[in-house]
Amino acid sequence: MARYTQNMTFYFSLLMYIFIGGFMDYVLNILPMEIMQLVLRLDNLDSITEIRLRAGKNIYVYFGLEECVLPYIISKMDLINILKNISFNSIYSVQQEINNGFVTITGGHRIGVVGEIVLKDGVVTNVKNISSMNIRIAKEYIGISNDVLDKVLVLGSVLNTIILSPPLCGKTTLLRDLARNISNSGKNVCIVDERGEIAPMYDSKCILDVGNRTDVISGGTKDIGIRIAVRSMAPNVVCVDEIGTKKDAEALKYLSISGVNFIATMHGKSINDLLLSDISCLLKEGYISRAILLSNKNGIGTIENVYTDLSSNFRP
Amino acid sequence: MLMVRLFVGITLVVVCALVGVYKSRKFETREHILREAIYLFRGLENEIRFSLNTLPNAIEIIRQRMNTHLKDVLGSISLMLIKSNIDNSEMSGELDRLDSLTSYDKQIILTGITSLGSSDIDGEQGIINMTISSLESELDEAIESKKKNSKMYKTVGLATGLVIAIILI
Repeated sequence: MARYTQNMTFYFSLLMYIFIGGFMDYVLNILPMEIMQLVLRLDNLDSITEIRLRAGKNIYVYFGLEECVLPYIISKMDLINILKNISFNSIYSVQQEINNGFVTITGGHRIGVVGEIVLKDGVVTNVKNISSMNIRIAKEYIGISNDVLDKVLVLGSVLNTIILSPPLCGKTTLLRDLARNISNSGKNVCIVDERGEIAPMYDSKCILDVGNRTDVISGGTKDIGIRIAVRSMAPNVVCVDEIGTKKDAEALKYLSISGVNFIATMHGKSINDLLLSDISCLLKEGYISRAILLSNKNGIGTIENVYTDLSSNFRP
Repeated sequence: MLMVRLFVGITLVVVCALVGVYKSRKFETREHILREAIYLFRGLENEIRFSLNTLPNAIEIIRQRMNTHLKDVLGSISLMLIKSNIDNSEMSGELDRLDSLTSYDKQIILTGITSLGSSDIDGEQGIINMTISSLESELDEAIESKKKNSKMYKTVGLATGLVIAIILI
């Protein structure tokens, strides 16, 4: 009887949410029943940006910069059950993603997974005793790039652009909307999406709106994806997320030499971080024409500055 | 009157023989289902190791090539595996539909399926190997049992029918 009542409560809550609709449905689906019921009781479900789960601690739900603590202590089994739900009860199928630190689920939501790392020959082969998870809710904000579009798309051609910001400031969301705007303006855009964050695919279709002339290459590394994009899709613009290695810099140089423009994002608090990174050569050698600096001062996605004369200022 | 007796007698013989055949079929069905269960786990080994396919997908692909009742049961199980927060008793209930299997056979299959999906590929391989070896020893036992009992049930059925018919006539 107790189980019946519990099931009825769950289905009622779920039905209510489906009736209301929202971004959170894929996330709710992966949560164990007790946690799901607690989350469903919250107001403004669609404003949730993060759910942080740590073994032996309460659940922390974030609405942007606001925090809400839920009265439920997470157990190790809860974390394993979430992993099982993410992978359709097949954890081995997401083992590689777990080793990389996160799993992307349908809807583009990213689940960070950490625990005790198992190394073999310097390579992560497993993550055991999973202790924390961070569920980051992917959101689509149509039109947020309208203010910067005229800085990136000048006289019908796209300028090589870097979007810089610390985590959780809306880099990927801005990149996605720029891709959509540029694509709809008549350019062929190719998104090289290593982690399935910019353009999450399901059943061969992109779940979020990335424009009508956009091709998506997901999985694989950025440098491989970029080379495939140039060879096979002949795009006008390539969009990549979170660059930062020398290989990425080489791949972006190859793009420029091939006559293809790029828009990329990277972590950083200021333009100096770009100069100190492994991709500083792109700036010094004049491959970058624009840099957009984001912050969350006035909410996620605040445009702090748009640097428009990079190629002259930072050349040695 | 003689015709009626004769008719009743023949009917009895046929019914008893059919009961015997039905009973003996159970042994054959058990053997077939166990063979398909081994085939299932061997297939899962390939799907997991080489394609990294998820369990529901892998089971769905493999079950399409099956002919016994295990095919229907696996269909329901693969649907259950898609859902979150699975209840193992539901799966056990589905396996109970396979009445020609012994409870131990069902337990091996259930444990095999429910243990899968919680570890990395090497762990999955270990679970599959263990399940297959248990199923193979059950299969040997099923073949022995079929040899011993299948003919016996058919003969006993027919003989019982004949004895009853003779007594009645």
